[in-house]
Amino acid sequence: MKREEELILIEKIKAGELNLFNTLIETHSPKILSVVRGVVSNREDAEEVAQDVFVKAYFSIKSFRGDCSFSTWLFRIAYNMSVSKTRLKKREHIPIEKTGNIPDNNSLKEQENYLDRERQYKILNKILGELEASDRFLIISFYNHEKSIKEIAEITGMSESNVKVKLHRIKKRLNLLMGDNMEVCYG
Amino acid sequence: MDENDKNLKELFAGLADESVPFNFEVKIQKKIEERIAKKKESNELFHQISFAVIIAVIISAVLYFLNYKYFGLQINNLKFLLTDSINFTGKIKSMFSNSLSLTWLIIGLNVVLLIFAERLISEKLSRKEKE
Repeated sequence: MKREEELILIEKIKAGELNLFNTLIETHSPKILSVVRGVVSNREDAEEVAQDVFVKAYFSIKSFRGDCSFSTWLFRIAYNMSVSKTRLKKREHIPIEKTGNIPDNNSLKEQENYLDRERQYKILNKILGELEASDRFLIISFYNHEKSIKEIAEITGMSESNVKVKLHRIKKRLNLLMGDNMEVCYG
Repeated sequence: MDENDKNLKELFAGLADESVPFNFEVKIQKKIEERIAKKKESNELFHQISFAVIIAVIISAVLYFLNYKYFGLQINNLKFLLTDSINFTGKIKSMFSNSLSLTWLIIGLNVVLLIFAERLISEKLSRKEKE
């Protein structure tokens, strides 16, 4: 959905056509679920938080002024809710399931690459599990959802320079811990 | 974005799970409806409490007005009634059949009447709201 179309839709919802809110849920739920799952690893808790994000958005949609994209606004709610959820419930790290399948009829080289990738996923999961919830949100938004530093700053309420520093530190740590494994896979 | 960034991005893409569970929207709708019902309930409670407070203020004002205009009771007299007259050694009878009995009876009837009116009106209002 284009931004203009979305803004028109939101204006209609604000005017009282609340049944149109379903369209927004359909459009944004995959991304919101994905980012919340990255922070709150327990699947049921993550789904609960993601539902609450949309409930909160429904009741406070009048406060959305359109000075940022609706996605950023939703991400801000998701950030606050998922971080506070992890504060309430000490995080038991359950690895995020990867989406790839094992290649069966492929060459030995491809199978080796797959196993290397498996190892990388494990390491990545381990590193993510050790990060603070807010830092996990930051890195997942940056890599998975292609949010810019400016957008992440808007979402988290941090300054852009603070986001840059945090991202740099996390990336450095990731590269350090995954360095050798990256080389195996990407040559 | 450098080479390392691209590699990390690819890895993160492999971790991303954007699947939406069955009934996700329905569950949200249900939660929204529950919140709306809760809000309505608390609004109703707030209205009832404010109505009761207003009625209490009116009753107090009416009692004060009645006392000021017709009965002229002094607080000292009431204190006297409370401290000296309430004992259970035969003075109870005199409490109900003295010169002030009629006054108290009228005050009591007024209070009952106002409470009855308050109940009637609040029930009518809540019925209207439900409709």
